[in-house]
Amino acid sequence: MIYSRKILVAEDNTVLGDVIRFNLQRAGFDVTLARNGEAASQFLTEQSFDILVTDYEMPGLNGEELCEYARYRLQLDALQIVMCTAKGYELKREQLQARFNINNFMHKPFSIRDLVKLLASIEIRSAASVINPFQVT
Amino acid sequence: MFAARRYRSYTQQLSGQHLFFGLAGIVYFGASVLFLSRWESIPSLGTALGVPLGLLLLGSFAIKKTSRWLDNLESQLLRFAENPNHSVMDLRPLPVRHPLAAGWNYLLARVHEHSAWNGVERRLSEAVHSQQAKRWETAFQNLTDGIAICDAEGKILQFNRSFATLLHRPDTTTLLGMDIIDLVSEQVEESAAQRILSMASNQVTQVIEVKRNAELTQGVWRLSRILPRNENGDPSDSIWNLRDVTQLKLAEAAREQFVMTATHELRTPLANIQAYSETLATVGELSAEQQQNFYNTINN
Repeated sequence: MIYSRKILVAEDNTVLGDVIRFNLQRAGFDVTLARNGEAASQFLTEQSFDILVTDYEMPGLNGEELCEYARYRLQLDALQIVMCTAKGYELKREQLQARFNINNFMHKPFSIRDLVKLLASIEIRSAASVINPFQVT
Repeated sequence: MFAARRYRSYTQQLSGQHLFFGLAGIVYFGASVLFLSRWESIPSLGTALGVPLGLLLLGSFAIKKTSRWLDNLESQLLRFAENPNHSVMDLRPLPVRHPLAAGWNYLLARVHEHSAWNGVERRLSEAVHSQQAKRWETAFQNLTDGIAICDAEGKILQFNRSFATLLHRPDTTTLLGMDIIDLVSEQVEESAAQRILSMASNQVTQVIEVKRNAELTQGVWRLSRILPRNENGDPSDSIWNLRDVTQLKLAEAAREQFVMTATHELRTPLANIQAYSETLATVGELSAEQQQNFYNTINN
């Protein structure tokens, strides 16, 4: 089955957000870019997504709080989460993974190609994707 | 051991025997004269007996007087024979001119001299030890680390001022005999108290760091328990060392925070540069304007 994966990218770094969106769109994903945590939570409330790619440190609602909002407030159990972070060993990775069932972590600086490969390989559990028989992914 | 009361000195025996045998000689002499004279010259008997008797008594007296210093020496030695712990300082010199007395006096002088030196040495040693003990006590009391010495059951036997200060116990008299684990545990958070308890159950020297509160600024202690071995190689008393490492921990936390912030600040622009340069390198069909924009982003 051929379909475009619906991805929400939450990234407060405008420059990085733009280039991620550019590359993901080129790879055939249906990308929505949120410039901060609040905007991302709004998108999650209003729309359905297969994957959430979120930065950890964001002003206002940070990545952890956004995951909490998605998992516990909106009960989005099927949503796959990829967390991008510039934090190193100080990130309590195991705790976050256990609490929010995070699919994967990308540590900055990361390769855009690796991110694309990862997002293409994630098993989709939600029904958010629109089946597009004409698009080759 | 000699029986002092029944013992007669050598000179007494000598003079006694002298007197006894002298008297026996006189009696024998008198009897002989009586027998030979057949009671004819009885008036001269008094003279014949009186003169030697007087001479004998005089000789005995002279012997006794001459040998008095020997008697003195003998009685002094006898005191030592009766009591080996008798003080040598009680021995007295003999006030006579005789080689034996001179030898005794010389020996006594040497013994007194030796004894005096021993006394001086002992007092000096005691003074030095006392000074050393005072220095150790001063050092112990003025250490910045809190030190407590406990018995095998963990009851406090001795401690210094810093120990009481760190535990906020100004009334130091109440600390003696208290259980150190209870005392320290009540000053730290619950999880730290558990660690102290498990540390105390181990028979090895251990060092742990415990927070007094969830907040680092409330205090962090480094607690060591040292188990010195006695002469049989068995652990007996335990020495507890309490050190306030709050400032050290705060400095470490600040350093870690700085490193984290610096790392984060470095990674963010690096992520941008890597993402844009990778896009430029891998995406072939970028327009000239897009390429220029990407280059500008990397440069900025």
